[in-house]
Amino acid sequence: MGADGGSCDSGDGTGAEWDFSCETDYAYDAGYGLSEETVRYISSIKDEPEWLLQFRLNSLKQFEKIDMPHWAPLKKSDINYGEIRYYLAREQLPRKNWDDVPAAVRETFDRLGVPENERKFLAGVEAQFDSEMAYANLREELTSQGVLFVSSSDGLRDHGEIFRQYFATLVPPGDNTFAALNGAAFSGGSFIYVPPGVHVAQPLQAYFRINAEQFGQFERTLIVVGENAELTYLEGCTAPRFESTTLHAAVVEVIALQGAKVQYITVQNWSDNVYNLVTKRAKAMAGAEIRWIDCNIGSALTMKYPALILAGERARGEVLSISVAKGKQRQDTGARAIHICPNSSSQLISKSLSIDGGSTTFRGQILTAANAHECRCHSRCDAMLIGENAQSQTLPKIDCRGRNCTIEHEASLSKISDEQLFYLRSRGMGESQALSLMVNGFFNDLIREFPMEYGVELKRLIEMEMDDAKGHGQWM
Amino acid sequence: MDVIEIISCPRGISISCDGTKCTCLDFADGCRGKTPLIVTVGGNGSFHYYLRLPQSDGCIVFDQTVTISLVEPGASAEIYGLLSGAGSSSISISISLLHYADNTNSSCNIGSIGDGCCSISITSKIAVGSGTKNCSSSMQINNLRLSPQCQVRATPILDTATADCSCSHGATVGDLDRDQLFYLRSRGLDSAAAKITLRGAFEEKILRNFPKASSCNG
Repeated sequence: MGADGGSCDSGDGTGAEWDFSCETDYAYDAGYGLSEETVRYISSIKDEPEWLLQFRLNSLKQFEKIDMPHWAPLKKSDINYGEIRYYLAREQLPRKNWDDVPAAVRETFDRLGVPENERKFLAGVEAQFDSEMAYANLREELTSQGVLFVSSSDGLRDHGEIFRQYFATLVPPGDNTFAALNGAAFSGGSFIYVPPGVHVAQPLQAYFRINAEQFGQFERTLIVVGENAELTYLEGCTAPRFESTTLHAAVVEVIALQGAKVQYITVQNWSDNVYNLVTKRAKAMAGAEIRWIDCNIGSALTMKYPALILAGERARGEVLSISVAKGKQRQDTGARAIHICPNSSSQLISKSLSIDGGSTTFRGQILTAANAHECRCHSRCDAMLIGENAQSQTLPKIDCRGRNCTIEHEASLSKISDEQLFYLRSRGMGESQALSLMVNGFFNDLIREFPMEYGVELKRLIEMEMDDAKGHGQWM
Repeated sequence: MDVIEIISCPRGISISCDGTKCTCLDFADGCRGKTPLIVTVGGNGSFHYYLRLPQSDGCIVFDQTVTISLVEPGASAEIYGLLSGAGSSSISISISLLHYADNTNSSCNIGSIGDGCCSISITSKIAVGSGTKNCSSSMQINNLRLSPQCQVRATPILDTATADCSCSHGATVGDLDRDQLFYLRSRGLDSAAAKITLRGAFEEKILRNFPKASSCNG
């Protein structure tokens, strides 16, 4: 038992460093199921203004109305929303010092290496534990330059004039089922504002941890980067392995104003009982650059299609996506590039690996509007399949209406080459080592785009996934 | 069962078979109904489909579905198509190449040229069934827009449920290359002649795969 009434177990013995949970006492618990009372409870304990309560209630109505799209791999009824808790928190305000964070929560993030990373190479960190941020800190020099890096609740309360201007402008509640669910129950997530001309040289990081069983995490992140400013934002997420379903339905909105540069990096490593249903959308104004780097390793099912809205001349966007699915996992990912202004360009690159029954899907959408002239878009999707029953789908849609636009899409699907395997084995490598090397080679050109520390971590995660699959001996 | 079985065929299509190889010539016009072309190809059979929709300034509505199933080992299929739309034509084609057996091969190369206010939609699908081995398939869709009012939609789908296959697809949408136009004009061609030359080159990439006697008819 920790000093504050919490203790951590060591998971189910799989050895994964994230597979543990901590017993904690929650001061705030909305109970099971989602209803108007739940929404009012969340809003009241956050002391939100009336307009936001109405936004939540409207979102709840939308959630009840909107069904899943016909192509979705998940039906709305596949999730029992009555068996999920929508708000769990120990306290409302994040701490600025790790020593002030309750012991069990601190131990969780210590074991995940978050404070260590903060010391090494991050400009700021937020750590969300279930529904609320437990820790938030930003380096003094950035605070003095006017950079804001706070929880969404703090952003709303203390910086309402900026927050409200951009909040839900890219992902309104009526956008899709889980955007509506998020609108009704959202809690936590980051609000970042970078003033014009400020370059945040080191990345900011948010870490999302689900600790409780039968729980839904619904964070909402809003990033506004001012004219000619720059930002790199990293998010990581883990949860322990439970028997019951856990839901993660986040919404991320990124606005890059004229000439801004934003890089948003996600390393998703949820446990295999988590439904990860995330809506991510970014808008780039004239001359702005937005880059989504999205890595999906964990979860039972991921549905995530980061979107770029290129809403200014010479706006540029890029989506780099890595997906790994093994066993019963399904990674239904993709990317969207909506060109609504002339001379904008985009690049969508995806690499996926399906192992032993794992299924990966890439859904792409490239649209150039009628007045979006001289736009360019290149889309590439490479898939690798290993073992019996592995599946891959590539489903891009190209819709070109603008003048002098060039759009290219290419996709390939491959298996482990017998010749390459033979060559590596002839150089003295064991079969599993050779396979790992080839898979790393397959992903390497995308992994190079990650900050070095995360690239190393990502390679290690992919190797662990390979080792885990090989442990079952199904494709050796 | 015949090696190649034509389950459904629109009117006006010419199919000739020689042993295990069938060649299907489809010089379509805008008067066709919605009867799909459905073919199954058995052991070592080879089905070749050549589609040409020449440009017509009238209001053409062309909506064609092609499904070719490779159901026994050694079956193969090749599709080449050149579609031209102008005026307010609406052209829609949906092609499925379904691999259900080991050692099956397929390829598909479709080009479209859109002018005027036409609308072109091309959906192509490669599907490889679970447990099949050593299949290969490639698909290429190139769309050339001659007019900014022309709307082009391309949806190339790759759906595989086995690791032992090699598949690829590609799709492009673009206007005439302005550098190439500039080059031709610098060599003395006027703008119209330069455009006709580039259009001819685009068509030639597809038409050179057509059987010799048929490619000059369009």
